[in-house]
Amino acid sequence: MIESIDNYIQLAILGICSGATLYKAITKQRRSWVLVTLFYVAFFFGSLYWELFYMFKGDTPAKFYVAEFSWYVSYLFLFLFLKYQKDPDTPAPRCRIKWLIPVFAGGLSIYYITFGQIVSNITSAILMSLVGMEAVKGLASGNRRMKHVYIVTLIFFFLEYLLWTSSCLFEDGSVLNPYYYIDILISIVLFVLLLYAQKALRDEVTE
Amino acid sequence: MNYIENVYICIAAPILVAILAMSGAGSPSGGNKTLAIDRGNRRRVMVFLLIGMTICLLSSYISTFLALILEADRQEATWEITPLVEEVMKFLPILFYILVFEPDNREESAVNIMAVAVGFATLENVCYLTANGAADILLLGVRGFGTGVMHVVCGEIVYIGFVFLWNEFWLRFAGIAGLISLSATYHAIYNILVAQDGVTAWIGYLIPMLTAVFMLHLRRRLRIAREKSSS
Repeated sequence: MIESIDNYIQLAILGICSGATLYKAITKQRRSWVLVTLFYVAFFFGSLYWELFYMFKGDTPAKFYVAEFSWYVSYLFLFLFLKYQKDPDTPAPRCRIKWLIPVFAGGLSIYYITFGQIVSNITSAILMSLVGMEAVKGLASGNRRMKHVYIVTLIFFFLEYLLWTSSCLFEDGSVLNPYYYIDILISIVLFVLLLYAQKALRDEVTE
Repeated sequence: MNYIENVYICIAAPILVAILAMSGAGSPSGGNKTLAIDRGNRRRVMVFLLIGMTICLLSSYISTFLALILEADRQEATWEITPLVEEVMKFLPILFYILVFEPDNREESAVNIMAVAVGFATLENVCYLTANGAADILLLGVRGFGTGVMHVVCGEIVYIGFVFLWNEFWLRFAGIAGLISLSATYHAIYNILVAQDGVTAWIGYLIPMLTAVFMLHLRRRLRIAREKSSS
């Protein structure tokens, strides 16, 4: 029950975000909006596939990683969006702290691999590290227009890891399982990310 | 028993003959360059149509092989393995064409994607017809349009990459790889929905048609915007 509520909340929020960004991408016809749209649509498709599979089969997909691929692709598009938002006039600062991100992601992925799915865990660690590093680099660069987007992206990054860790520690489907609440929190963070991305991209036009 | 190879030969043979006939008549001997280019374009579309059918045949082999390796039943294979295999396979000839022939016009690659998708959907539909009979015209019509349009929509999803993400090297490859995965998920969602009974299946058949109408609108907007910016 709680799992379905969690999934429906996430699907609703992602559906709204996908629709809103799609509208922006069509009306503005700018690459930044296309990348944000693809991030949300990919995340939405992954969650929708997962929910439909669970609804009609009564089990989670186990043979192949269709939903996972979609989520990984969403991380990829988020990374590409952050990467192409750099201020071309500002030189990239040296930022050693960013290397803590792959250390953190790599360390946790080793822990997850003890539960299985080696390729999947390595892929997610690489893509999430790229996202996290880009956000830290962006914060260090002092890009004021994108500052809040970078902060929310980092919150998203850590919440995702908290979610995956909780799925390893708590396996029951009860209401007390923190996994579902973290997942709902991620949905809210994704919505907040859209608001800040919208503001940043609006400011990009006015600057 | 559905002999996909036999069906393939029956449909591919006339197309192959047409391609050969077009190549014979395609030399720009009279100096009419426009006519020669036009003929070349038509022939290329036919070639990609045939490649789409061939890809459908190869995809069925690979999907069956992977299903055996992963010990997946028919439902698991259709919902989890086939979509990804088919979408990746559909893009391979386009990737080969882009890397080897280096076309100047990216619009050309987009048309080729569509031709591959149409060829793929044609063979798939004929195989469905031979396996399930042609008695129920309504169901066949809906399925024919649904599956055909779904493959074209998946091609159009990749086409977005050619329009928006083509200018920079890494963005091009990462973006298009991402879009292929996105189209595979879209395909998998379609496969799950149409495997159900009643309203759910109809929703499944309708989704690609609505997406196609939306894509048509999007392409028109893009064309208008491009014309405005050029004038």
